[in-house]
Amino acid sequence: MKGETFAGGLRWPASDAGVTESFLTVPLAEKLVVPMGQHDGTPLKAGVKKKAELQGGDLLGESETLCLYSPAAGSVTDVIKQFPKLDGTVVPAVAIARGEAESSPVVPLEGDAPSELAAKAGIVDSGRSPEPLSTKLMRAKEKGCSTLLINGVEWEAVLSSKRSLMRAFPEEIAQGIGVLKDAIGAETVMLAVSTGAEAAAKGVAEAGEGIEVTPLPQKHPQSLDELLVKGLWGKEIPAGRKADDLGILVLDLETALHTKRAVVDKQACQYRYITVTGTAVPETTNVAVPLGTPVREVLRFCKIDPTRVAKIAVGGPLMGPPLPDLDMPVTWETNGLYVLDRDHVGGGALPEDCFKCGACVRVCPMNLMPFLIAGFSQADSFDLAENNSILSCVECGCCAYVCPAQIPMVQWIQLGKSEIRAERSSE
Amino acid sequence: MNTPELVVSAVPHAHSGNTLQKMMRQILLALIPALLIGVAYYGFGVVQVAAIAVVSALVWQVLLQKAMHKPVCLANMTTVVSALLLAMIMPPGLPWWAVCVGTLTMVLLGMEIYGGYGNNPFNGVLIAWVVLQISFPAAMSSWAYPPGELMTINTPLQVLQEDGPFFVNEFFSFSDLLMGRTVGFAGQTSALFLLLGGLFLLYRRVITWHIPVSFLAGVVAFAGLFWAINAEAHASPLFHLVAGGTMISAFFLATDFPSSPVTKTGMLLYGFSAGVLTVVIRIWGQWPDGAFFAVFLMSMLTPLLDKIAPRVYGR
Repeated sequence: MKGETFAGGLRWPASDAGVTESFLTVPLAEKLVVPMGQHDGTPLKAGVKKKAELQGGDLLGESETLCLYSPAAGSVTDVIKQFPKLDGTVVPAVAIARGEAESSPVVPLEGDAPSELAAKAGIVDSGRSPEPLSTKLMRAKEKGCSTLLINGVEWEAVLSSKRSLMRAFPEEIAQGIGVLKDAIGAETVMLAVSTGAEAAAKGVAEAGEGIEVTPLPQKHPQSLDELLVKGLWGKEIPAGRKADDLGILVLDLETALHTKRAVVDKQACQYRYITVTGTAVPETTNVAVPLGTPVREVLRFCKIDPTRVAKIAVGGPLMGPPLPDLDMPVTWETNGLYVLDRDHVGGGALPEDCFKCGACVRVCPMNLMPFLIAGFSQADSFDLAENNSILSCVECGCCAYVCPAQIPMVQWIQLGKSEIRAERSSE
Repeated sequence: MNTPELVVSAVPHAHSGNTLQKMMRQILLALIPALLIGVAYYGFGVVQVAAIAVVSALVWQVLLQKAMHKPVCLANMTTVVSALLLAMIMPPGLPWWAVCVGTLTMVLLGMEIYGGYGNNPFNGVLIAWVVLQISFPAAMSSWAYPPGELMTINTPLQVLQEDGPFFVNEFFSFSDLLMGRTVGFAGQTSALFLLLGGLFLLYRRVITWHIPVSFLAGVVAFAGLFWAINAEAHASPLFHLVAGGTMISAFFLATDFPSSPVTKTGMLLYGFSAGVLTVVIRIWGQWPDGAFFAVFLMSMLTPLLDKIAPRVYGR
């Protein structure tokens, strides 16, 4: 089944724009915000008080699986109790005013075990549901995962950060993959990339040992765990489970780089490597951004006129949640910035009634009936939506993208899912 | 102030640009070759019926939408396309009042009473056709005649029913059947031009291959079965493909979005069954042509066929 793909989805041409061999580093902003929840699950507690003076690299919050550090020396201007996350939930956050030093300090780490170092380094494995790396490693060990799959498929086709990472840091990534492989005792290591990125992936494979490059067709939403597993093995992850239940640990490519720095160099992770692109962006750029940097500063660094910006999708055009405010920081949840100008926002026709053309059914990679579950959600029939597997929806956006009636199906499905989850948690 | 207010909206932030109106425009375009050849063979009557149908359908729609206190909306062109399709399966000389009864039935029972295009469970064009067929059987059988010498004043399927397959071969050359130079009307006779329009729709991805191909396969398979058993008593599958309403049903009527299934398996079953049913009615039915009835009957099974959905990922 190798190199095959899933039914449905969108053929979205890959863009080589912005693929680079070196990332430009965004300088530290004067004001930084570090949310204590940058992953799915319980947020950390802020371990600092308002007006506290910080050295760069001081701990802001700590748990067994994750540590968050101050990206700069300075002072805590505020400890925000309710800071919005992109999914609408609220978490604590620490606002920092930077002092004199303009570059991020190196935070030295102590320890030996990779999962311990991953926790201390504060690595979160990004993706659809970001999780602390140490949690993922420990779970993979418990479940005896024998396969390590590194996800080198761009989150969305317009992004180029993963291909750039493979070109910029092949040795470090290969070393990191080796560390991760040993950490869980995996027998097989695969590096999944989209066709066209094989050359860059080979660079990584040659720098390491036993890394098998597996190209997959350029198709949206190939980057999701569910469809990587389907594409590579023809298997499906049972509903409500994760890939590690099948003995496969899927980790993001960027995680391998951070792992190497944490475990081999014993340094904590302070940067996110992201692509900034979109219609308001003169030139697609791949940048290294200190965690906590407001998006406004990233735009300024990329020479984007903020008055032209009308909408920012965090990630890409199909799956990226909208950014509510330019002062929101770059976090582990920021998979890229897709910046739209006024000419490309709104103005769409009002939705028509669904006329059952079936386009959404044909593109749905999860074999759902999107028009049906969206319609049930719209009609407040959440039970029916649940019976039709609304919770299996991965919100890839394919259905609404193709819908000739322009029905915002993902929006209705998100509503249905949140109502069902609220109902469940109140029981 | 350099702080713009950001637009916040649900994903996705991109759209393919395909709209209902664009799809309808292409269907309209796809019907034009068959309509033109219809005008060439049967004269101005074709244009007259088409014009009356389109105008009256739009008038009915405006009146009904006003009566139902809804905003008047004609922009998506569904009414124009449906009215034209209906006009093409009506005889060119049909009196204007019969056309208006047809379009009223189509707009009322095929769209507005259910809340507008898309919410209707049945194909509006075929509801109207059935009502006309039952109400005005004589007027609906007043065929038009192409120019030139004719061997018969009956349609090919009438000849098949009344005289048998031997006379079908005597009276009609294959090229005449293909071009549509037979007794009948625009949407029925010119198989080639309807096929061309259908292929255009497939090429532009307005429709998918599942329904037309399985429909034609159903016709060929069932007609072929009887032809193989007794070629003396039954017409060839090729004849069934090019005669009567086979082509317009396969590409334009059975593919009607609201009344056809959405899943691939559903579409294949629906198309194939409608194809088989077409030939069943032609062989045993009282009506010479069964294609429209077959599609109409099968659309009643659409809710059931939609249950045959593929297994959801991971469940």
